[in-house]
Amino acid sequence: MRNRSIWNLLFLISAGVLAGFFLVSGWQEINPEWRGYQVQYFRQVRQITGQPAADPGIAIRQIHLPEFNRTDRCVTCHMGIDNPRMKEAPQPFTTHPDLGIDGFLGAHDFTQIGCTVCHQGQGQATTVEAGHGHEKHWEYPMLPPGLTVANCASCHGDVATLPGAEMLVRGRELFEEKGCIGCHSLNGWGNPIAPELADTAGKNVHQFDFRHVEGEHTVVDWIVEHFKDPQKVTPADPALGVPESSMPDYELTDEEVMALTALVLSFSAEAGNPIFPVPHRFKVPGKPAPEPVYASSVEHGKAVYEKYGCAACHGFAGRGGIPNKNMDLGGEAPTLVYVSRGYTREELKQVIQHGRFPARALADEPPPPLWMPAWEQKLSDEELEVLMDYLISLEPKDAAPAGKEG
Amino acid sequence: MADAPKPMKFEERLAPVARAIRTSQIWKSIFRHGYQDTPRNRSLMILSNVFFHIHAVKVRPAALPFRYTWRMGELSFYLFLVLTVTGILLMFYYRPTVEHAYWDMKDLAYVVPFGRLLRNMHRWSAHVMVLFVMFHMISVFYRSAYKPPREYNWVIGVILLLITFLLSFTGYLLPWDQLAIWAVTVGTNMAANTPILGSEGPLAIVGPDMDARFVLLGSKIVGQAGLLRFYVLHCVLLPVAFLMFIAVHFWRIRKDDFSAVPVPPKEERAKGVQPEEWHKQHPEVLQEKVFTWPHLVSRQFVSAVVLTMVLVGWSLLANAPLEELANPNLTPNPSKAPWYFVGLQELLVYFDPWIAGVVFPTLIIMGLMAIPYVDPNPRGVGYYNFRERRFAVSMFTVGVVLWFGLIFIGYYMRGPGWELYMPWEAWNHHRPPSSTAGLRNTPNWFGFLLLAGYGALGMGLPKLLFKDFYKKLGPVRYGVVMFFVLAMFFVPVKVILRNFFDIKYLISLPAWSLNI
Amino acid sequence: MSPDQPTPPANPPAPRPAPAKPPKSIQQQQVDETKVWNLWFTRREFLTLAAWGGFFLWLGGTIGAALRYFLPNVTYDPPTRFKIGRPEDYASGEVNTRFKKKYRIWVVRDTPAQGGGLYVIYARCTHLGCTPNWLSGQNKFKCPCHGSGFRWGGINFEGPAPRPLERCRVALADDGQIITDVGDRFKDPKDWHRPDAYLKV
Repeated sequence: MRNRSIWNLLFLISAGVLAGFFLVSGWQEINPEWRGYQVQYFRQVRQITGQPAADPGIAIRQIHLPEFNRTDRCVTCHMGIDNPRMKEAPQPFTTHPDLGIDGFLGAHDFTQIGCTVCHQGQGQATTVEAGHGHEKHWEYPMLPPGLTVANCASCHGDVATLPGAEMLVRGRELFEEKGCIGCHSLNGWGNPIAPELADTAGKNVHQFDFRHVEGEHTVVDWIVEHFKDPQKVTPADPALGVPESSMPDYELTDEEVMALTALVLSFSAEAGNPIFPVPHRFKVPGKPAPEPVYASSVEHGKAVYEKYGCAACHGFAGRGGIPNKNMDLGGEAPTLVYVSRGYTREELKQVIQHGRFPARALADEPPPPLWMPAWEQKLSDEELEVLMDYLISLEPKDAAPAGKEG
Repeated sequence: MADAPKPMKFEERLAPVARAIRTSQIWKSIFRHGYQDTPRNRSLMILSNVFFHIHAVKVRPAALPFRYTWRMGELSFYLFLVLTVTGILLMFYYRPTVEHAYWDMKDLAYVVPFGRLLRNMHRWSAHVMVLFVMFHMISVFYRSAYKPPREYNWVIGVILLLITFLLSFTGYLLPWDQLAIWAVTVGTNMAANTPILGSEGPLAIVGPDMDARFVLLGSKIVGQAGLLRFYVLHCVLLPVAFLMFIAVHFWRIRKDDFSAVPVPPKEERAKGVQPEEWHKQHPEVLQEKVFTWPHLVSRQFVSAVVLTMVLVGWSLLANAPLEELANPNLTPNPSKAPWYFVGLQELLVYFDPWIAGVVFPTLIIMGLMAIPYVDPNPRGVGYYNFRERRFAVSMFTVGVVLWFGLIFIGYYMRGPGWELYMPWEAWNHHRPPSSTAGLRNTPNWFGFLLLAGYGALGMGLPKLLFKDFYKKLGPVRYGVVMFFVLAMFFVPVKVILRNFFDIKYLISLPAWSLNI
Repeated sequence: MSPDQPTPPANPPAPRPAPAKPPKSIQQQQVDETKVWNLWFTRREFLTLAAWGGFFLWLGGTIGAALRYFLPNVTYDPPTRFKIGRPEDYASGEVNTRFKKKYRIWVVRDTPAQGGGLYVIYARCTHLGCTPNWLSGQNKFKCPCHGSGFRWGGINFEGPAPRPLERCRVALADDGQIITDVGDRFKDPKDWHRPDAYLKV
């Protein structure tokens, strides 16, 4: 019967294929990706040290941290991180940098805190790609090695004095120099012109617009490219009524971009992630900064200028040059270098206390994105006075007095 | 030279050994009736086996060919068994709490031996089962196997369809990822739009802390309470209900006798002889039966093995989705219901939630259940037939096409903002939303007249034009049939009204949240 | 006695007693009794009815209890109702940001010219869910994410936001404080005139 032979054939094929699938599946279980790495590691150890490894079993190794809600299996492949003799071995077998008892790892026992709290990635995974977090729908890919420093802020309240956190310090310097707080808010402090920075890096990747991002579609990449060219990454979208980003293009060097990116990431690390908490006992609170001593009121005023981010609109040392689209009088936020000529001290105080809205250059274009906020609630009287001194001091000494030009 | 005795062949050496085993007491205590292929033993294989005696000992040969039933019913039940086994195995590693559910899914994928395969098999089997029960219902309809005396079994089947949907829906929440939480949010929001018993539906008499959604979720939000309830429903209550109804379903199949009947040979059919007449002329063909073991059972077995091969292969190659951890504060755009509900979600474009999510599903279920009772045409039982049941087959086919068409549109052609995208078009989250500025409502009196006219014409015209049809059905059946037919065609009517005439609502009573 | 001798006339035979009625069945006796007592059922029937009635009452009650079982008296949802001070704490014509960080709301009190109502606006941009800021100088709510702008009261007028800002249900608690429910929000401006959408102060 023709039918019967078809059935027989189907049975034969499917039984055979099923058996084949079982073998494939069984092989995947017997010989997973990580097994090869472990076998290689033990071989390397014997080669380098001449002796077998102390704990030679082939098995998944994990650090289970219920308080952190993490289970890190990185050590399944990265078996040599605490073996000082593997310093010359290649990845993934190499020793973790700064292993010594008085070095980094001495103070950060990874059996107590795991790996992903600093490096991110997907601790529960057991394959290279997934473990490094490059899996679709995993929101926390491993940080590039240069940016791992950002996660110091998960535990350390004060990164300024941490050895190894120099990049964050540099980032902080740039942050104050450029006056980012003049437009952005940080934990509520700052201005409402641009988004809050403490939760930027913690947002879901779907909340970012990657249409103009060339690199990988990750949050880190977006931030890096946004620093390099804000207008490119967040351009105007007339169809939706979204204006172009009014963030100035600071023409940062790559090193500066990395430092600032690390800083922004550290803000989110500091704010914490409710899914992956850091237990309280691991937190190292920052010490309050000592009261600064200023040589003069002008120096104090300069510190006030930086503290409140005035440079965001008025430029470094009041130089100006920050675009303010559709603002009358030049389309830029005004410079402050000659402000003492146009205003008396009292007038200046009034403008600062109560703020001002620039007029539009073209009535049918959107209003300028930047405006002078009211600082009445934020500046103390002393700060206001020293700020006056500073602003008045901005006028260059060799400038011709008003009205005396030819 | 005399021939040396030939050395014994291997099989010949084996024969006495085999015989010794087969006549031993141990063997005979287990395999009582041997494997001798006699008609008696073929009967006993079925009769004296608690699992097999669901089958009849003999079946009509018409039931055997694959294209008769496509084995959909049996494979649906087989899939249920696969799901039960894989599901129970998964239960050893899955904890239904918001703290653990998602991370246990990750562990299943990475550190549980065969965990990835098992989870994938569970997920893909579920989708295939939903598809197969729909195909099963469709093929039963086309073979008229719901006609008397099998009406009750058809209704049981519709209930089983409903339980299958609910099993899949409750299971959908358990991974606790973004896909799960938002699909269930969409689904339970439909429950909140139930008339009267839903807090957001028309004529609501209960608030959100007492309505249908609250009963489902144990809370106003999709959270721990909902996860636990869905877990219990999915693993205990619904499978038990399913088994109870399956038992009745199988019982009735046996009691009502298998419907398969032979069709006349080609020459007779070419002459236009119908099966019923041919059976009258040749009553002996209805008595011709073959043994279930091996004929039916072998086909079922091979079908199951082929299906298993496809399932295992697919599960090895394609991972079931696991998106980000469930985040109640972040709504994905778009948020889609599971594929078998996405047709109803597509209806939301044209109807208010209480109609799209409550009224239409209810009408579909009730309409399906009514089919055997409103179809007085006795022809076609046991074989595929169009000519003698044109109306029934046409209407049902329209319904099937509409159902799967809506699913196709909702699944492949809707992107962010539920905007229309061609299936090959990439989704653009920044595309400006299509304008709804041109849409308008008809004045209520006009809409009412239009609806009344649609109803009146729909009820009256066929009665006038097809008197025979009306006489055959009688007024009650006719009324019921035309009601469901008119309700079904109201969907394409609304689609046309909206897309070609820019009409949103025919009747709009916002004070009562009632819009049609 | 010989057959020929005439029998002396005997006394006329005693009249035969009327044939005895068959004894009454139990049921018939019961029926008669009920007729006597003017009842319309027998005791047996009554007790049977009572017994089954009791059974179905119990069954119905159990089913009702089973249904009620699925409606817990408490839920573990995060709280959404908060007390936010007294109406006097809010100046007329002011958008108060006191509870913006804690509860994500602004408390707005209209001037008498605007109607004088006090209401609560939920601080979530209707575009993609960011938290806008109140810019008192420009008299508008402005979202820093994509520039959506909302007028006093929350009506969207610039940027990509599709709908006005939502308002939360408000009421006066017994201690005189305003109590608001951020989980119960009014999206449609038409609902803003409802008595539980604003307080008359």
